Order: sequence, then C-alpha cells, then structure tokens
Amino acid sequence: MLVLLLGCATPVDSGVDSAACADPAVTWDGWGQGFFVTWCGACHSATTPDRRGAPPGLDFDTWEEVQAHRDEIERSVLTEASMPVGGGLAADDLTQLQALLACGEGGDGTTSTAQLPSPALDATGIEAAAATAFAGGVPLATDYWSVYLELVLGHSDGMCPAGGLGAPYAIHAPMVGCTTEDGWYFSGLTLRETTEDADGWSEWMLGDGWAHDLEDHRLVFGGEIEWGADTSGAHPWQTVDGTWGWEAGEGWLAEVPSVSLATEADLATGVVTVTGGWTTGGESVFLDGVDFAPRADDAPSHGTLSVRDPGGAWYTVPLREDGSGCGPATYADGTALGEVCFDTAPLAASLAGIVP
Amino acid sequence: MILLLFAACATGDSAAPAPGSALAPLPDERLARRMSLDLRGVLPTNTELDALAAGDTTVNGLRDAFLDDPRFEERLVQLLGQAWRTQVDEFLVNYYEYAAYAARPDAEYPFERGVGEEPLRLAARVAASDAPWPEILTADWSMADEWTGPLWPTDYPAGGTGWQVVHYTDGRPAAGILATNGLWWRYFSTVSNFNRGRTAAIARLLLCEDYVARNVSVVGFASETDTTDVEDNLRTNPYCLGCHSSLDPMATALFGFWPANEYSLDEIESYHPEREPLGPVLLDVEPAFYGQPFDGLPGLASLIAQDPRFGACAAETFAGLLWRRPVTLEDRAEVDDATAAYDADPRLKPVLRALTDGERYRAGAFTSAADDATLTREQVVRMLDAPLLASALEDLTGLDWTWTGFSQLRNDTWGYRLLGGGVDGFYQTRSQSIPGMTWLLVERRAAESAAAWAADHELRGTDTPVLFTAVTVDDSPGSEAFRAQLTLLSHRLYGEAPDDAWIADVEALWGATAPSTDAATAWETTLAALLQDPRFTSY
Repeated sequence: MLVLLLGCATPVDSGVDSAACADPAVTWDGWGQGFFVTWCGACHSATTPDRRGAPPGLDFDTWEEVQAHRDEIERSVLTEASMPVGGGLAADDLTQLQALLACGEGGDGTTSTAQLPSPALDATGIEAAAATAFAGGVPLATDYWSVYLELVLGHSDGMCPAGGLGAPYAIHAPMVGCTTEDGWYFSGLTLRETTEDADGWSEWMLGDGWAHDLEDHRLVFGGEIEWGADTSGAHPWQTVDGTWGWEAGEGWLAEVPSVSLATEADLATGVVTVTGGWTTGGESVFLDGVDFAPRADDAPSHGTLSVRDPGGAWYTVPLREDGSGCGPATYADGTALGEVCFDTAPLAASLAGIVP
Repeated sequence: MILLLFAACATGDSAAPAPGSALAPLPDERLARRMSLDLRGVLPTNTELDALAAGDTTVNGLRDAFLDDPRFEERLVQLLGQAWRTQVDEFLVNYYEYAAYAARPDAEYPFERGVGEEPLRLAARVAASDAPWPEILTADWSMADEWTGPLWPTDYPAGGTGWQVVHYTDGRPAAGILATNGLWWRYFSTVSNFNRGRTAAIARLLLCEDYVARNVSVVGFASETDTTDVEDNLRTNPYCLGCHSSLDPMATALFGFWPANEYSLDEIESYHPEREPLGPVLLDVEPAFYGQPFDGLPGLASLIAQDPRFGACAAETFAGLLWRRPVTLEDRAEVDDATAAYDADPRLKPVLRALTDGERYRAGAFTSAADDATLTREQVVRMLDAPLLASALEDLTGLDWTWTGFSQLRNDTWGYRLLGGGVDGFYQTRSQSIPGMTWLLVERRAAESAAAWAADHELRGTDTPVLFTAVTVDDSPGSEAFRAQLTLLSHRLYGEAPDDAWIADVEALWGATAPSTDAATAWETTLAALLQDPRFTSY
C-alpha cells in the first residue's frame, strides 16, 4: 500500500485505514502541524485576517481540530482533491496525510506569536521625528526636474554624458562612468519621455545613476518620477519613487531622501492630497491621503499621518478634521499614546508652487 | 575509469554493518576524514588520526573538536552556499558601477563574494558561536568585509579588513539574514513582482517549502482564467490562490527592500523604511504568516523562527548537504532524529551531531541487503567538488589557486567551480555526486598545481616543511626516511595506512621520474599522482 502511494500524485482512491500507517508514526508535532499550516493556514485558521470563503470555525490550528474534521479532510483532500484550492500536493504529502489521519499521533503543537516591543516613542517623540522629516518639505518631482535639467545641461560636453536631454535617453553614461570637460563625473542612465496634449504635458523619467561635482556632491537619480502640468503651469499630479536628490541643493533635495510618494491636486479648490512616504534625516513618515490647502495656509484636515521609530514600529495618527493638524497617536499594537500635533508648515509651503 | 574506481571504493573494507542493514559504515579513520572534510573543509592531521588509532580519542570526539575548530565557520559558509545559492557570479549591478572599483577588474570576484556571502557568514557566525539558530532571523547585526562594508550603509570600521560584524545605519529592522543586502541582491524583486519571488525564496530556504516546485495544474488555471489582469487573478483565481493566499501576505513584510529601480545602486544598497506601509496596499492583503497576523519584517522573522518547520528545515537542509543527495520520505526517521535534537536544543551543532551520528552519514559501502532503491538513493562515497578540493589542497600544500583575483575553484567567470562539480547558484544547484570528464580535468590540474607548489616551497625553497617532513632531496627509495614519508602521506591524504605493495608502486613511480629530472621534481610528480588517487578525491 505504501509503495503504491509513493507513486501517486493524484487523489488517493481508498479510505483512511490502518494499512497507511507509517513507521515511525507520522505525528502532529513532527509533520502534521507544518503541513496544515503550509497548505491550509492562510484560510482555515482562527487568526487569519482573510478566510477567503473558508467556513467560519472550520480551522486546522490544532490536532484536535483536525481530528474533529477528519472525514471532511479525507474527502476533500484525499478523495475529491478539491482542497487545497488549486491543488499542488506532492505524492509524499498525500502519503503522510493519509498516515496521519489513519493512525497519527498528536502532541502539544507549537504556538507562536509575534510580539512587538514596547513603544519607543511617546507623543513628544512622534512630533519631533515628524518635524525632522518635514523640515525639507514634500519631495516633488518638479523640484528635482528643474535641478536635473540645470545640472545636466550645464555640464554635459556632448560626449559625457551622451545623449543630451533628447528622449528617450535623458543622459547616458557608461556604467564605469565618464568625466566631463569641466570635471564632473557621470555614471548611469536615465530614460525620459515627454507626452503632450491640448491640456498640457507630462514628463516621465527612469534613472539609475549619479553625478559628482568637483567637491564630490552627488546628484542622484535612482528610481522613477513622473509629473503632469496644465497649460497654466499648475501640476495636478506628481509621483516620486526612488532615491533622488542633489547634495548641494536646497530643502529636501539636499537630504537625498528615499521616497515613494504621489500628490494629486484639485486645481479648483487648491487642495493637494499626499499619499506615500519618505525617509530623511533618519526619520520616516507615511501620509495616507493627507489633504493640504497651501493657498489657505491651513494645517491638513484629513487623512492619516504615520511615523516610524528606529526599531521599525509605526505610530499612526488620524488627523482631526478641525484643521488643527492634530490627532490621537496609536502604536502598532493598538496602544494609545495621546494627542499629537504636527507642524506641517514646511510641507504646505513646499506644495504652494504646484497650485499657484 | 574514475567512475569504476569510485565504485570500487564503495566496496572496500568497512566496519561491521548493523544486522540486516543495507549500509556498512566507513572505517573509523575514513569516517574521521569525511567528518573533517565536511565540517572543516580540510583533511584530518596525522596527529588527529594517530590519536584515533591509539584510542586517545574517538570519532565522535574528533567530530566534536571539528565543530569547535575555527575553520568550521568557513566551511559552513561553503555548505550553506550550496543550499542558499547566494555565491553567484552575477548580480543586477556590477562591481565597476562603484567608482572605487571602476578601474579594478581584480575587485570583481571579492566584491561578488562580499555580496553573496553576507547572509551565509551571518548564519555561520551564529552556528559557530553556538548561539541559538533562530538568531539568524532576529540578529540586529550582519557581516561585511572590506569590499562591501565601506560602500554600504554600515558601521564597517574605516581601514578595516576581513569579515566583521557590522550594523546597518539605514533604519532597517533587526531580522537577521532577512535584513541583509546579500540575500536580496541574489533574490531580487522587480517593481511589479512586489517581493513575491523573495517570499518564495524565504519559504524554500527557511521552511523547505518550495512554492516553485508545487504541482499546480496549468490546464486548470487556463480554463478558469476569465481575466487577463494578473493581479486580479492572483487574488481570485483558485489556481493562483493555492500559492498566493499564503505567499502574498508574507510578501507585505519586504517592502522596505522593494526598489523603485532594481538597477539603481542607491536603491538596492539601502533600506527604504518609508515603503514598509506600501505592502498591504499594493498587494491588497493584510500581513500574515500562513494565517497568523504579524507586524513588519521583525514580526515575520519572529514567526518563522518559532515555526516547527524552521528547525525541521534546518535538519533537512543539512541532511541533504551532508548526504550529498536529495532528502526523500525514506529518510524521515533520521531527519526526525535531527529535528528532535534541534527541538531539544535549538542550535545548529546538535543538529549536525545527530546527522553525523546517523547510519546514512556514516555509510561507506553497501551490504548484500541493499535493494535497487537503496543502491540508487544512497551516496556511500562522496566526491571532492571544486570548492572542497580548494580548501583541502590549500590546507595541505598552501596553494591558494587564484588568477587576477579570482579563486580558480570557487567561481565560474574566470575559474572552474562548475566544471569541477560545484554549485553556481543559478544553473547548478546541487554539487556533483559522481565524477565527470570536466571534473577529472579540473582535479588533475589542481593536483598538479598543488604538487608543484608544495615542491617549490618545501623542497626547492626554504619554507618549513609541512608535508615533506620525513625526507630531504637526498633520500631515495628503499631508505627508512623514504618509507616513513610515504607512510605519512598515505595517512594524511587517504586516512589509511599504506601496504607494502602501494609503497613499492609509489617508489617505482618516483624512481622512474628522478633519473631524468631531480628529486624535487620526482616528488612533485609523485605527489600529483597521489592527489589524483580516488582515495584522495573521494571521501
């Protein structure tokens, strides 16, 4: 029987019986728990955040639960092969499962938990971390683009970097780098595309390189940026993903932050919605749908602002809708940390230019 | 020919097998030799073998000493490299993209190993220091050498050399190997893959759950696919959900390593904390490890470390590495023993002790009870693959076979690792178990080089002899010194005492060479031949 089963990757055609017993016995601790976690846990677990249609209560977290549902498991896995969804069980797994159901042994199992450390920041610490990250303003594609144009056009000698600024290659330097006549060093590649229509135009750029000036300041282009402009000069949308900056520049550019951010402006109301985050000055923030009104110079009144501590835990602050820039801070484990108020003036100031 | 000689090794003199067993154990000296090579990457010394022969120690006593030997850590790097496949010769970015290395082709090999060995050396340091194995997932430190440490955001000391414990300074969380650049440069994610491939790598490396090997029906997938939207299918199509229901919730933990451009050095050498919250958003799932919610990469790492499959996978992984073959269901009892050793004491050394205590590890020959399945499955003779040959020859003769910075037996760009039976991490994922023509050529060239090196330094030069300790160039066959030297070589190279016939054969070989050259060249020729004996190249 065992030998026959070894050759089968398809449903086993017989019921569970003692002939399938293995030597040594298949145990819940030794094999069963791992099998059920691997193949069933994502849906059939009391703790799973998404059961994906699994009937409530039909869980296989313990040996007792498996024994209680032995017939259903036997039918759906061994006989009908309707579970796990999509199939994929190997012949060895079927053999082991049959042995476990027929005459397996239980055990205590292993209970694992992922515990967070205690909060490293209090309300004051959250405010301070955010202030550091906010100091340079919101990283905007248009800020970077203008600096990039100036520096590349100002230093390219036609051969280094090659390609000038004509699409599709904004600049193109050998990976081993090249040095311009005035001593700037370029390495890497950027792809560029400009799209125009009656309402305006958009720019897209993908980069993986950098340039050095004579004092070793770096112009970094690593990732993807994109922005749109209407005919009035406003910028209804922008995205910045990657590592961008100019070490001799101003504001956020000087920090060369890591960014993943999108801004969307309602040009009629002047509200700019920011979604995404950046890391600068050693602090990381994430804004989820935070609305700014730079024309009115108000604090944001909508969305959630999150701050990360050095250990990697996040603190979430849903902003009150009263325009105070404040809200209740909550640690990742749900611990309430009291009221937090953010100084978002640098962010609002940096956004003013995209909704003139 | 070589194959036949290997087969002959498998029927050699052995200690008594257990009654009814299909496997006969190696004699103690050869077993000690196997353990020394597996656990230290070098041959046992004659002193160690003499102590064993005299009863001053036991095989297990030697084994335990090997586990405490400083070379155990380096050997673990090489062993784990075969399973984790990070010692590759190519990454998405090249060494010359760093300005410091742009004009240094000699930097290629050490840079690539500096990258790929980072997670291996972290794990090896944990194991060698006898720390709990789960620390490979919880450590707030990593390892870097002078080729990567100063370039990456680490606290590698200015002017430092060699592998050192470092801490990243870019805000990445404590998650052991899961927070290393080396692992994620090898297992990279494209922008649109959203770390799913990396998660599959985690499952294979740490839980021995290979998503890619799952027997999923493509026919069923095609018939049930009613949309071309890949992301939509991954969330709704049962043939996708079979894997992605567990894969995607885990992948949410890795978005700090998710690059906006996987070819950008700035993007892939640094961690991006601000992208951590993007995982659940972009994958449209809540973070969970097979149904257990977690928070962030440390949360995922913690759950993996506590999972019963983690210890079992360590046992299975090292069983395969030490047995030099895939682990099958038939091996369950011995793997279970090693898993039990881990459960009782979650460090790696107890696992290795349990495995090296086992019948499969100690097997040196088949008995008449062996059936066809056993004969096919078991590896009673191991072959020195290129990296193991490199470390054994280096220890034996001092030869560090390199060319323009490339270790000749440890890479494939300018070397012979793959041709010599090694693992390249991409195309060859298990070391060769039987000799082939290219292996033979590599082994021959390595033997000749090592012999020339030893003769140059010990007989022609003035180095203190470590191999030719009993003879000088004035000794000739028939002398006591000559016989003593051959006895020492037989012990050292093969873990066996020589017999008179073998001594006569070797003396004849030496004697046939010396008249037309000189004594040093005759010894060089003789040693090159001895290093090609299957008793040396197998273990």
